[in-house]
Amino acid sequence: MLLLIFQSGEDRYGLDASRIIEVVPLASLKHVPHAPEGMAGLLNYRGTIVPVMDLSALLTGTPSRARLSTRIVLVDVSPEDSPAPRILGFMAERVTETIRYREQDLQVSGVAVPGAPYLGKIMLDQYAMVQRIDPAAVIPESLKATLFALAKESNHD
Amino acid sequence: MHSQQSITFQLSLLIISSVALIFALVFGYNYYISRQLVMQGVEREAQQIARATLKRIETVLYSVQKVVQGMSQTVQNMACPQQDLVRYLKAVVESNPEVYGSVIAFEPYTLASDVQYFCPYYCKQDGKLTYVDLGNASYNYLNWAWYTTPKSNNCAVWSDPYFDEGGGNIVLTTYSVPFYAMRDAGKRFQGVVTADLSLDWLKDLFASIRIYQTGYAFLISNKGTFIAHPDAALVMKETIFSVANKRKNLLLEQVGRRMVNGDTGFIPMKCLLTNKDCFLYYAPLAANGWSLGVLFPRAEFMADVNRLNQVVLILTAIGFFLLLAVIILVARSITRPLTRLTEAAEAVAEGRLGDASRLAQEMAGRAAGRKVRNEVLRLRQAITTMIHSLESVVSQMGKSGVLVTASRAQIDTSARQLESAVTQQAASINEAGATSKEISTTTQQLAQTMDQVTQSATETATLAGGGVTSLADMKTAVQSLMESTPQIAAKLGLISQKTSNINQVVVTIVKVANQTNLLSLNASIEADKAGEYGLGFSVVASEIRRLADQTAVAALDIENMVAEMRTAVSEGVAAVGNYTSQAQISSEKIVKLSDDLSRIIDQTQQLSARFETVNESMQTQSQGARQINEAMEQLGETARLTHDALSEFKKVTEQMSDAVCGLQSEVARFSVRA
Repeated sequence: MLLLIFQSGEDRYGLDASRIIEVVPLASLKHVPHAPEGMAGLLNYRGTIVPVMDLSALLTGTPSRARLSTRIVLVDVSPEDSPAPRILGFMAERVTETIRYREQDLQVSGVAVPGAPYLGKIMLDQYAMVQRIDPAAVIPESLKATLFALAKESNHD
Repeated sequence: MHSQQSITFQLSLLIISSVALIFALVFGYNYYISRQLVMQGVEREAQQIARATLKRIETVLYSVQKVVQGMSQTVQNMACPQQDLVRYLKAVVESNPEVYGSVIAFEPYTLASDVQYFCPYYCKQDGKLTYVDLGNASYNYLNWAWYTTPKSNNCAVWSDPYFDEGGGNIVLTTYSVPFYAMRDAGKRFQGVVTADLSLDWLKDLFASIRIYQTGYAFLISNKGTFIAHPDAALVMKETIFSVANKRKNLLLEQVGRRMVNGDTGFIPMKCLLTNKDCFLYYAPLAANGWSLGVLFPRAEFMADVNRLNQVVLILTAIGFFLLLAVIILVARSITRPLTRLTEAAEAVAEGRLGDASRLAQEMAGRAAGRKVRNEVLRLRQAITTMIHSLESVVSQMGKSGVLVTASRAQIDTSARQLESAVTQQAASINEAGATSKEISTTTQQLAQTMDQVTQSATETATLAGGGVTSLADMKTAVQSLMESTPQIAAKLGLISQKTSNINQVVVTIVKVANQTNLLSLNASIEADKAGEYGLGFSVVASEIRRLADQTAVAALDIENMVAEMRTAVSEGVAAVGNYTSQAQISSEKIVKLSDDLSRIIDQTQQLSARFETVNESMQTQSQGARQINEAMEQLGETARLTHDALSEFKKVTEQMSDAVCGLQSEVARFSVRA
């Protein structure tokens, strides 16, 4: 299995590649006034309006810096039985490498943060620890409905 | 041949033939035993009829015998006159209804020495008692068989039946008994007494014997003459042998011999009247050796058995048809699901999974009402499970194929983007190389200019050091220096401009490297989605990413070098500025202070030293440009490697495409239900 690595603060995190649609360069986003915390804005991804979450803002409270290596990862977060794909963008820093891993390499972190259900298991590579992020759990269900409704309306507009 | 028949046919044939064999054996045994029982019954019946008939005949014969024997005793012991004998004879005939007529005949001269013939005869002619004296020469009783036979044999005899001599068609038989005169302690033949017995009553007796419809009894004498027979034409006219002779019937002749010999038997033969198959029972009459035959028509006494057998056969046939119908029904109910399953399996074999699944579902629907748990059900369940598994495998394969094809298209796009990026990078590298060459040339020109300046300065120093002479010359020299200053500044400005050009190129390289890194990331992700097929491509993608990182590192090096070069140029500019102002000051001082020549010489020497610094800076620049050139070559090498990796990557993609095409064509054989 493949893990797409990004950095937030001093720590390294990973997103599982199986649900990733594409990694695109940092582009200008449409700012959404009164957007929920951690939402960077809306991205025009090949004609589809996609809400983009700032992982750096979510994980450290500091928005992602504008760098070449700061990129937007497009992930399919739709449930298994959903007919249409639900795409969510994740802005993150230092999105430049991947790691091949096996499920048994992962260890349970042992700390469950109530506010952050998306923090997953941890694995060790040659440099440091990498914590896997569950992209589907980044947004709470209630907010997800709002977000996608927003995106849908934007698409209609 | 048999193997091509259906299970129904084979099953029916097997069971029907087995049952038919059993039926045939049972029927045959039953027929044999019943026939034997009937035969035994018939024989017993024949014996009873024969015995009863014989007994009735013998009763009559014995009664006649008693009468005659009584007469012989009477006549033998009683020597009485002729009239008394005649009277006695008349009384006997009158009192015995069985006796038709009677005779007392004496040997000549035994009754009385003067009586030659004595033979009185009484008979019931036409129911009227009639006396006939047969004792005359014309009749001559002494030569008749009824007289000579008992005389010669010394015993009582029954004569053969014959027609009455005295007229009338009455068949008679005569019992003759000899009587003797007891004299001189011996006995001497004295005469014969006889009694005639009419056989008319035999007609009635035999007519009353009824055996089934056409069976009958007959009586023959010990010479074979028919005495009683339903066919009146035979009676007293034919013998059994003459009939056998006429009809060329050997069996009849043999039977006749046995009957005449007094044997008893029960044998099959042909009826004399109807020529049908019969069984004949024959037994002798003990009194006179006649033989009685009783004929049983076979067809009639076997009629019951045959009817029973017919009914049994009809019932058997009905049973067979019922059994056949039941077998066919049962066999059909077994084979029908099998046939349907076979159709389903054939549909699977031909790849029509949808049809197969529909057939299996129809069967399941049909079987839902019945609660059966047998091999057919298990087979159907197994086939249904197999079809579902196949369907899910096929649809899964189809989906995977589509997914892989989509991934392949995306990979192709990525590869094309990567290729154009690499081409762009190569162009940028070439541009950077050309720019660095220009820098090198400019620096060399600068160095030459600096050499000239140094030379001028040295000349100035020499002029000053030599105590030479005119300040005007010095001023001119200073002015020429002043003129050189803007040139130097212009050259330095050019260098600064080129440096910023390099910076732009470096930025382009960095952008390209970044783009390459991004593309390789997406390629890795797509390769991971492709699973096993993407492994080779995944390696290529990570290799490309490594090359992009190396490019970024090389670009960083260039950036650092350019920064160093800029520092050097700024220093040069500062030095030139400084030198210009000092030259101005010097010029002013030359104008003002012609005597301060020594100081000017010192300052000139200082200038010379500063030119050295500039020169060193220039050399550093030149070296920097060379290093940039080397870095560019390294970049060119990297681009080539990238290109090689790309063509390898293309090959892998084609292999993957071929594999997917093969897989899809294999799967396309199966049509999945929509």
